[in-house]
Amino acid sequence: MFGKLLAQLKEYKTFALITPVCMILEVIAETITPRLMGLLVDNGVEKGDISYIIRVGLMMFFCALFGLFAGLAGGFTAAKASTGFAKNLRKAMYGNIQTFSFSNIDKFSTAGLITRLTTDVTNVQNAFQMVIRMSFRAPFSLIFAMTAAFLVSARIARVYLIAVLILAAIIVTIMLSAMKSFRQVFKKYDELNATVQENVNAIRVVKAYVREDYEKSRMYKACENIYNLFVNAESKVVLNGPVMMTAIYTCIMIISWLGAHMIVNSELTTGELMTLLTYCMNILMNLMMLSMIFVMVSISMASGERIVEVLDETADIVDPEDPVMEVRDGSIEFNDVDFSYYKESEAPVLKDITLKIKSGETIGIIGGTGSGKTTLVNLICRLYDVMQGKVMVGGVNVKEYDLETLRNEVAVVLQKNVLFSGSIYDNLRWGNVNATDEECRKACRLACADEFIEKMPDKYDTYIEQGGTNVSGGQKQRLCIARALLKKPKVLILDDSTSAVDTATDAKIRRAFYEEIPDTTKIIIAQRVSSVKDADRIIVMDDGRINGIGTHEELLNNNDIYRDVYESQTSERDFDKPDGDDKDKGNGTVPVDADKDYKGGED
Amino acid sequence: MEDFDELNENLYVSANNANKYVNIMGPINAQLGNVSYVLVAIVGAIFAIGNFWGFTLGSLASFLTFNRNLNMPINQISQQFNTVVMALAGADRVFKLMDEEPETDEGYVMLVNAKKDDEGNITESEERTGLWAWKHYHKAEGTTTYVELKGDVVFNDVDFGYTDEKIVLHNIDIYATPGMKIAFVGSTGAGKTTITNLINRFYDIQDGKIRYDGININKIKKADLRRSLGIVLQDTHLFTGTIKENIRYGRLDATDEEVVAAAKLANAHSFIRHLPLGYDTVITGDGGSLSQGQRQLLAIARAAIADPPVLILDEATSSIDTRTEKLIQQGMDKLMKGRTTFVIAHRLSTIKNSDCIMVLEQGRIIERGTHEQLLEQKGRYYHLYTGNQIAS
Amino acid sequence: MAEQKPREIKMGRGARGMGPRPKLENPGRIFKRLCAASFGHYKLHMVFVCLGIFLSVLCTVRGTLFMKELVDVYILPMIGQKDPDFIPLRNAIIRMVIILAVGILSTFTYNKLMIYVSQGSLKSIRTTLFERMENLPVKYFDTHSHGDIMSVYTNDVDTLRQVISQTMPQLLNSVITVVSILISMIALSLPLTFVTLFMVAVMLFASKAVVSGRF
Repeated sequence: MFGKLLAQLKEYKTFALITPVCMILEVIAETITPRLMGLLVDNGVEKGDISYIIRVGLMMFFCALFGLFAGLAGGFTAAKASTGFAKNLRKAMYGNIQTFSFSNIDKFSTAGLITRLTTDVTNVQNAFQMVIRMSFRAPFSLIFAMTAAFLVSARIARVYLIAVLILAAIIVTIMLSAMKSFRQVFKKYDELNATVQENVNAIRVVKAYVREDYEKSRMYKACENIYNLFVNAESKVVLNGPVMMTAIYTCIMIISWLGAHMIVNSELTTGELMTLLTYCMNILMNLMMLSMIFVMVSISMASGERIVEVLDETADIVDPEDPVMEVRDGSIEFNDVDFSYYKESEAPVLKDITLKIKSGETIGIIGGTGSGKTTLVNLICRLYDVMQGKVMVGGVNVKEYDLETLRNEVAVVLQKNVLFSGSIYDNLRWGNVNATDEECRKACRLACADEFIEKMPDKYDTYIEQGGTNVSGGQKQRLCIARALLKKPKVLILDDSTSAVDTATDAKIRRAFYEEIPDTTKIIIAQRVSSVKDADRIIVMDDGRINGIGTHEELLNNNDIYRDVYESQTSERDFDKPDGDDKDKGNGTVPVDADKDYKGGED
Repeated sequence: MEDFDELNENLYVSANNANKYVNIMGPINAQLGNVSYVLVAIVGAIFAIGNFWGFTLGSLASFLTFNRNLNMPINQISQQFNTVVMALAGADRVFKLMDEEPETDEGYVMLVNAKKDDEGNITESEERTGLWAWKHYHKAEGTTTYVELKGDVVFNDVDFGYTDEKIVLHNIDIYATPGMKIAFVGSTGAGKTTITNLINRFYDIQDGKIRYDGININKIKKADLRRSLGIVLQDTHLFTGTIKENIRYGRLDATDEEVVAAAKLANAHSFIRHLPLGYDTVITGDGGSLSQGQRQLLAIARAAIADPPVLILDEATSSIDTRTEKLIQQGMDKLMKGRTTFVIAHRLSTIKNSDCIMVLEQGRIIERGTHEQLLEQKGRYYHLYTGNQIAS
Repeated sequence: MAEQKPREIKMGRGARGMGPRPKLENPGRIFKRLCAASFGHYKLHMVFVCLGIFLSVLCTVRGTLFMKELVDVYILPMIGQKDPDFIPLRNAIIRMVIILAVGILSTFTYNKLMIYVSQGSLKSIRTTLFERMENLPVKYFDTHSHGDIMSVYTNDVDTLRQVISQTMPQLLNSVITVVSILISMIALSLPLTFVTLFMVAVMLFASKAVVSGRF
C-alpha cells in the first residue's frame, strides 16, 4: 500500500527527501550542545578559564543557529512535500474516478468517494508530514544521544540502553491495548451520533407519539455506555506518564549514584556527568515521541488504505481498441441478455431479455418496482456491461462503440435529475456544448419548458442554484428533457421523467416528440399507463423478465399484469383522463373532454 | 478536469502556507530555547567561576535544567490557550442550543382511563379500560368534569401564520364529527400540510379556536393531545431497531400479538414474514434495507397500534409502483375506518368517498362539499378533476 | 470524457472550513460557564486534582534541584578524598526516590481523577443537550438546518471533549510548573533569571510575528 501511495509523490520527492536530512542536521546540532556544555564545565568552569568558556559558548551559539536554520528549512520542505503529496493524491484519485463506470462508483458510494478525497487525504497528509519530520528526528536523536553517551561513558550508557528497551516494551503494550479500546469507543460514538441524527430528522414522529421521555432514557443509556468505554480507554493511556517518569527518575538516580562513584574515582568528570544526565532526558523523551508517531500513523493507515482502493480501481467499462465512431440509426436489439449488478448475486436482475426495436419506434416500458425497467435501459448506453448475451444499437454491439459517441447518441433522462449552478443556457449546453441559443429555445419548446422559462424575469439567463433548488420538480424534469434533446440523439430514453409533470403537459410533450422527432427511437418508462398507452409497442416487465410485448389493445386482451395495472389506475382514476369504454364509478357526470389523443384516435 | 486542477492547486497553496508557518514555529522555539540555554550556560559559567552571589557549579547544573524545562511549558501554554479559545466558539454553540426556549405547555386537561356507569356518567378508572376521557379541572369552580374521547374536531375561524407577519391560513372553518373523513385538496403551498401542523399543536394559531371534543386544544396538555392523535406523514421516519420495536413505537406496552395484528391491518405482515429474521429483523433509521413502500406500510402499522380516535394522513405515494401502492391504499383505508380522519388527498378513491372535501387555495377554503356536490359546482375542484393532477 | 453521466461528483470546497469566524461576545462568560459545566459537579475531585498537580510539580522541581545538591554537596567535596563516604549520598538518593515516587503517584492520581471528571462532565453535557433538544418545539427544527444541529453534537461536543479532558488540565499543569520553576530560578540566581526571561520574551515575540505577520 505504501508503495502505491508514495508513487504519487512525484515532483515533491526531493522535498520529501531533504526534510529528513534537515531534521538529522538539526538533531546533530542538538546532540553536540550538551557535550559542549560538558566541556565548558570541565575545562572552563573548573579551571576558571573564562576565555575558554566564551569560545565554547560561541561554538554552542553557532550550533544553535545552525540547528535553527536546519529546522526552518526542514519545516518548509516538510510542508511543501506533504501538501504537494496531498495535491497529487487528489488529482490521481479524481482522474481515475472520472473514468469510473457506475458500477465502480456504486462500489464506493458517492459519499465515500468524497470522504476519501477530503478527510482521508488530509489524514494521510498530516501523517506523512509527521513521518518525514518526527520519525527521522526521534530515532536519530535517540541513536545520536545514545552513541554520544556511550562515547562519554559506556558504563552509564548501558544503563540507558536497558531502560530504553524496557520502557519501549511497556509503552508499546500499553498503546496497542489503548488503540483497540479507542477504536471501539469511536465506533460507538458514531452510533450515538447516528441516533441523534435520526431523532432530529424524525422529531415530528417523536413528538406525535409523545416519545420524548422514551428517547431521553435511550440516550442516557447510550451516553452511559460511552462514558464507560472512554474511561476504560483513557485509563490505559494514563499509565504512560507514570511509567515514563519512573523510568527517567530511576535512570537519573542510578546515574547519580554511579556517576558520583565514577567522578570520585576519576573515571568521569562533572561536566561529563551533566552531559549524560541531559542525554538521559533526551533519549527517553524521544522514545515517548516515537510511540506517539506510531499511534498517529496507524490511525492514518485506515485512510491510506481507502485512498489506495480508489487508485487501484480500474474502470469496468473502457473504450474498445478500435472503436466505432458512428451510430447508424436508432435500432436496438437485445439478444438473450442476462444481467445483475453484483457478480456474486444469485438471482440476476435481468434474465433472458430478447427484443428488437426498430429505429424511430416509440416504446413504452411498464412494470412494478424492481422489475428491471431502469436496468434494461442502463444497458443500452453501456452504463453497465451485460453478464451474458449482447446489446446492439444501430446494428453494432455497444461494446464496440467509442463510449463518448455512444452516450451522445443514446440520451437518457432520469427521474431524479441534476441541474448545476449556472444559467439555464449553461445547463442546457451540458447536452451539447455547441448548441446555439435558437436550438436551446427550440428544445425547450419541445419539452414544454418554454412556458415557465418565459415567465421568469431573466428568462434563459436565469441562474439555477446548486442542485436546482429554485425550480420545481416538474420544471427540472422538463429542463432535463430539453437538455437531452439538444444532443439530437438517435435514441431518447425517458426513465419515469414525467412523474412530477401533470398529465396534460405530459401529453403535450409526447405529442411534440411524435411530431418533431419522428426518427428518434423513443423509449418511455412510466408508472402511468396513460404515458405509454399510445406507444407503438409496450413492454411489460416483471421480475427481471419480459412478460409481454404488444400494443395497448393487444396487451389489454392478452396480458394479465398489464390489464391489472391499467384497471387499477383508471378505475381509481387518479385524476387521469378517462377512457371511453371504462366504467365510471358512480356519479353519472363524465368529465368532458380531455386531451385529444395525438394519434388522432380516440379510445 | 481543469476546474478541478485549479481548485486543487489553490487548496495546495493555502495548505502549504498554513503548514509552513505551523512547522517553523516548532524549530524556532526549540532553537531559541537552545540559544537561551547557551546564553545561560556562558553567563552562568562565568558566575560559577567567580562564585558570584553564591552561584556554584551545582547551581549551574540545576539552573540549566530549569531553563530547559521552562521553555516547554511556556510554549505549550500559548498553544493550549489558543486551543481553549477556539473551543469557546464551539462551547458557545453548545450552550446556545441548551438555552433554547423549550416548548411551553399551559394545558392542564389530561387524558385518563375512564369507565362509564349505567347512567352514562363517566368517572376515572385506575386500569386500562379501552375507554378514554378528558379530565377537565375547572379552577374557578374547583370541580372536575370528564368528557368522553370521541374524536370531534372543530376549527372556528382559524387564522395561522408561521410568523405573525405572514398569515398563511385564513378563516378556516371545519366541523368534523367522530368518524368523519375530511379530505384536503389544493395545489402545492395551498396550506394542506399546514393544517395538519395545527391539530396536534406543533404550531399554535394566531386567531380563532380549535376544539377537540368541545375543549379548546390550548387547554389540553400537549402530550395528552398528541397521544390521542395518530399521524402518517409523507416522509416516513423509522428508527434503528427491530421491526417489532418500530411498530411498538405507536404503543410501548403493546403485546407481540397486537404488533402482528397491526402489521396485518397495514398489509405489512406478509413482507415482514419474508425477511430473514421476521419481526426481529433490524432496520436502519432513515436509510434502508426496506423499500419506500415497505416503510410506509410500517408507518401505517405503527399508527394502527396506537389506535387513535383522530388520524392525520398524508397520502403521497407517487414514487411507488402500483402493486405496493394498492397494498398501502388498502392499509390506509382500513386504518381510517371509524376514525375521524384528516387526509391530504392524492388519490381519487380517497376523495370520492370522503364525507367532506375541502378545496384549499392560498390558505383559504374556497369550496367544500362531497365529491358530487363539488362537481356540480363546476368550480376549482371540477377543474382539478377533469384536467390536471391534484398536486404538482 | 463521457459527459453522459447524470451523476456529478462535487468537489467539496476543501476541508470543512469555519469560514469567517463570528466574533464571540464575551468569551470570558463562556469560559466561566464552560468551567462550571466541566468541573461544577466534581468540586471535590477538582480539589484533589489541584492538590495533585501542586504536589507533582513540587516534587519535579525538587528533583531538578537535586542536581545542584548532587554536584555541590556530594560530588565536588568528595573529589580528591582518599576514602569518600558515600553514605550521605545514598541517603540523599533514598530521600529523593521517596519524593519522586510521591510526585509520580500524585501525577497518576490527578490524571486518573481528571478522566472521571472530564468524561463525566461530557456525559452530562451530552445528555443535557439531548434532553433540552427533545423539549424544543417543532418550530425550532423547521427553522434551523438539521445539519447545523447535528454539527453541534458532533464537532462542537467533540472539541469540548478534547479541551476538557486534555487541554485544560495540561494548561493548569503548565501554569503551575512555570510559576514554580520561576520561583526556583529566582532563588538560584536573579540575574540569570533575567537572562532567561529575556530570551522567553524574544521567543514570544517571534511567535507573534510569525503568526500575525504572515497569516
